[in-house]
Amino acid sequence: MQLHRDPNVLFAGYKLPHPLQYKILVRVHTANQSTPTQAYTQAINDLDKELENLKQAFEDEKIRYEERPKQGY
Amino acid sequence: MERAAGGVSYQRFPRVRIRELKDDYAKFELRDTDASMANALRRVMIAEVPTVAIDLVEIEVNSSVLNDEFIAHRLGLIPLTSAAAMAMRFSRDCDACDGDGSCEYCSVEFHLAARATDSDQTLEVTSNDLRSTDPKVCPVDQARAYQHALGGTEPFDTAAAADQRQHPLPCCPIMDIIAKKLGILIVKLRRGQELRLRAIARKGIGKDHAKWSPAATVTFMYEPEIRINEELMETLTLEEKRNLVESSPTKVFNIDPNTQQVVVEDAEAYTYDDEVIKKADAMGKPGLIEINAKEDSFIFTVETTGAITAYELIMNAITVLRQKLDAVRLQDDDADLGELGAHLVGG
Repeated sequence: MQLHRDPNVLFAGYKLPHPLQYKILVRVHTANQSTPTQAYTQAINDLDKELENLKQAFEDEKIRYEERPKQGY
Repeated sequence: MERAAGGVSYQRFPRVRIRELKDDYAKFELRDTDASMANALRRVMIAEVPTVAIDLVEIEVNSSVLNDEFIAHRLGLIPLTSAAAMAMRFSRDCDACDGDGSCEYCSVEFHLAARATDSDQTLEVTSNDLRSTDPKVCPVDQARAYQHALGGTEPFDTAAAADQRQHPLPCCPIMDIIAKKLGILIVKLRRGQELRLRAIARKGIGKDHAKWSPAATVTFMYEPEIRINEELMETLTLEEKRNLVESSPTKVFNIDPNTQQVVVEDAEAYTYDDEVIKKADAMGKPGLIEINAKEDSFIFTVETTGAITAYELIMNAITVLRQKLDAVRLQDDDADLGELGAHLVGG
């Protein structure tokens, strides 16, 4: 899904050639402003940053949640 | 082919709001992300966050009514406190031992010895009879009993809990009494019967065996957005409004006793059953109520087995997911790319 957010990506999909084989083929087709490897790496980096951000958001929210009863919510 | 590696970022910044957070339960809202992220989190929480569970059992004496395998299986299903599991090694890639569970990095040893002696009553062997060699890892109700004996710490006072794990109390009789009631039954022994065994708990994930799953339930739902066409609603009689409100199997709508208007009482009670919409259509008022799922807004419910806290489960799931991302990164000199790599350079 992350690849689909990149407007340079014309096609992105995956297939599992055989359900018992742990091998997945990812097909990425990009416009000529980008390359598949670039788009792929970028997508992974973005997801990684999103998760890093999410982790931080959780930590902050936990602190906020624990503060809430004290403020008389 | 020589292009700048850093492309434009399409990163999202999800927002979180915790509604409820207890030791083994959490309810939170996750916004500004999509279903693939929400589902990845859910699946990782269920099947890929590691815990510790009994995996190898060496039975010394078993004269109980249950056979050895049956008892071994029951032991495996007992949730063990697994806060240390993330830092532990899988015994399959442990260097310190042959993966036979003989080292402290990948395994914890338990002992159990019970014998119904002269009493006429049946002896209940529970998880509290398991004696751990590592205070960090023990059956969850034993840990809870420790906590209880300490005068009950706050549910999310993890600092105190961590401190406690580092300095476990010696077994005291009061604690034993509390614990006896809470323990998980393993087997009942008749007079003269005996059970003596050595068990080894190892780190594992729910994908390999459900006993390692830290999650009791992890679910998410799309947040519903309910719009009432007030203009059309005005054309309804009170009786019709009542029928409409009643048509929903869950209590989503209600009638304001003062204004006699249909109001949304609990949007989240909606189960996407379409019943009110069908009812509106049947009444000849299509478009009276419109319900859409917000595609970027999720309400999560997380319950754990007690092996780790709900908060730890969420955090560990994020960590595991990031490790998985690292695993699918392209190597700079990716040999596997082979033909494709050549093709890319050529193209």
